[in-house]
Amino acid sequence: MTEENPSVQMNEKQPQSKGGGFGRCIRGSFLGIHYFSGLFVILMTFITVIHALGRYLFNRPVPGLVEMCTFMLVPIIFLAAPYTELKKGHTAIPLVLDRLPRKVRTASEILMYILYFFLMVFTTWQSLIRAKFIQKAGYVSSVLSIPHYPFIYVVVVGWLLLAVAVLFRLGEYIKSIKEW
Amino acid sequence: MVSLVAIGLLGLVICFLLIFLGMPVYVAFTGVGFVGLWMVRGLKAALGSLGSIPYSTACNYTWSVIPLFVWMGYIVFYSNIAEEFFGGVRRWIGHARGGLAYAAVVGNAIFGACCGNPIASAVTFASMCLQEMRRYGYKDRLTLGAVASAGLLAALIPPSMPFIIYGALTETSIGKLFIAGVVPGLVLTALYVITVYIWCLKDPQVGPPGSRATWGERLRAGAGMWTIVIVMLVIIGGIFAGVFTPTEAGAAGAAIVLLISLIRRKLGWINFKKSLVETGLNTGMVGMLLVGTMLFNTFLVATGLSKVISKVVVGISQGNTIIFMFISVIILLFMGMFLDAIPILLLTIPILHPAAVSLGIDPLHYSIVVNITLLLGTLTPPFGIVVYAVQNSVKDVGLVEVFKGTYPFIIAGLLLQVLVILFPALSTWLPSLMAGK
Repeated sequence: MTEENPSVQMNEKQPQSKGGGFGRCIRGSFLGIHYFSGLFVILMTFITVIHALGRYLFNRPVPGLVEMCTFMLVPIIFLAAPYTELKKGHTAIPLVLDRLPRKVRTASEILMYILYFFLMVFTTWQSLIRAKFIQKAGYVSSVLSIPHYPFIYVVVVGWLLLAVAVLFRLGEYIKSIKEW
Repeated sequence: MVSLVAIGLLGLVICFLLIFLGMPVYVAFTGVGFVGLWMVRGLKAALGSLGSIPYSTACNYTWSVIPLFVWMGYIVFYSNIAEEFFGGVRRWIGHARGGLAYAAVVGNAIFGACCGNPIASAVTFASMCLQEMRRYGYKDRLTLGAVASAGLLAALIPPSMPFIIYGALTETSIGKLFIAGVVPGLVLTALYVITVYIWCLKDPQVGPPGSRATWGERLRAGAGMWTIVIVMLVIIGGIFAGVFTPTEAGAAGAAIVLLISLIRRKLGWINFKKSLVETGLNTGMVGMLLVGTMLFNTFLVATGLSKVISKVVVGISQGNTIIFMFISVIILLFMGMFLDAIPILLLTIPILHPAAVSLGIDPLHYSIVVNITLLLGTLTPPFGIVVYAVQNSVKDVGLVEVFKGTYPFIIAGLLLQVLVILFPALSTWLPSLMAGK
């Protein structure tokens, strides 16, 4: 149901790797990470159901449910985002881009993706600094005393993987120049 | 010396330019937000925001509603429960003139209780209805117009992605927002049915009567419709009665749909995995949009542009709440012609909502006005995202044909908008009856 994000269809003219060994490896790894983030959705669903049932049936809700769900959101978002990039799933509205000649369009896309890549590298770096700071400060959650820092490292990994995904797509655009 | 507001305006222009040149929306928001903060507050503060905002944005319990409802919607999609439901509705009302279009509208409204995304709902019904309705001689324009427009019902009838985001941004109760959408959703369903009726009256060839099902067939079909009815009762009933929080309702809905699909052998391993992949794609997309917009909004607030825009809109409306709401509608409809609903919501609500509240407008009332407008924006050219999605899912019908099919329904939507603005009780009455309000 990739129709879910029409930006995917609107970008259909963009190059998509047929998948050499390296391409398949990247896609497979990112899909694996994507499934891993999906496990947290399943976990969040069942822990919330257990919480609601426990509250009504046994008067014993799951302690710290809010904290657990809050922390689970981090891998759900940040470990899903890189594969979403590979699948061109992030909302894009190329209203002007689609009306440009092919060469200008590809050049513009390459420029956009170079900027995109540097932004991701920069964000990874800043998140890493933040993660080290939080780890050193020893912040924990208020009910279950879950440390924050492992989850900030998940954010760092998410940005890093996004940078890799962007680089991969940039490579695809550059390869498409040969077809001019 | 360039004023801060001018920097804010420049940032807004550059951001839109990058978006229209094809840069993913969240990247444009993040990048421009970062550079803007650098200019306004200095490099150290900008770097600090870049490092801290993504984590603090993602780490917010309110967003936990999103993956749960999204997953539920995809389980329903891959279990073909919607198809079964449409089949049931069709047997009950499909024999009337335009009956299959009524079935598509009513089916979408009730399916909306399992799916909060207008695109997913419209695409599900488009692929399901088109061949069937062609077989009975329905014109594609009516079929796809009705299906694309009825997708909006999914986002008005709870659960609803725009309401979740609206509630989280403005600290309005998401449960109340969900319930506030019920009556406008039902009124819109009725207006769509009337639209189909009038259309078929004017042009009887557009939606000829289907075959009449026997009572046995109707009752048998009805048996396949109960999954969605149960989910609807759990979600709407549970939130209304104060039994569940929206997050709990999402989890309960997903668990029930999963359990029923597994028991009825409607969901195989491959489709289960697909539902997880699609949930990740959706949540990843929305999550990164949230992160980007938070950074961009921090920049806009720092420049003072948000306040200026808010003051201008309040000034033009001269303190009149109805004029203010109509101005909001015009602004949002215009933006909806070029942008998707969620980025508009993320961008405009931190500016417009406080102004609305300062004028004494009920947040629930305003949220319904905003959401109806944004949803109508998903049908209007040139960037009617739902219309694009529907056309893409059926391939063999032109985009213009689908757009033309939605026009009568857009008029119905605008009529609803006027009703909601003039009669606030349409959106505030039901939440006022909620338990534990």
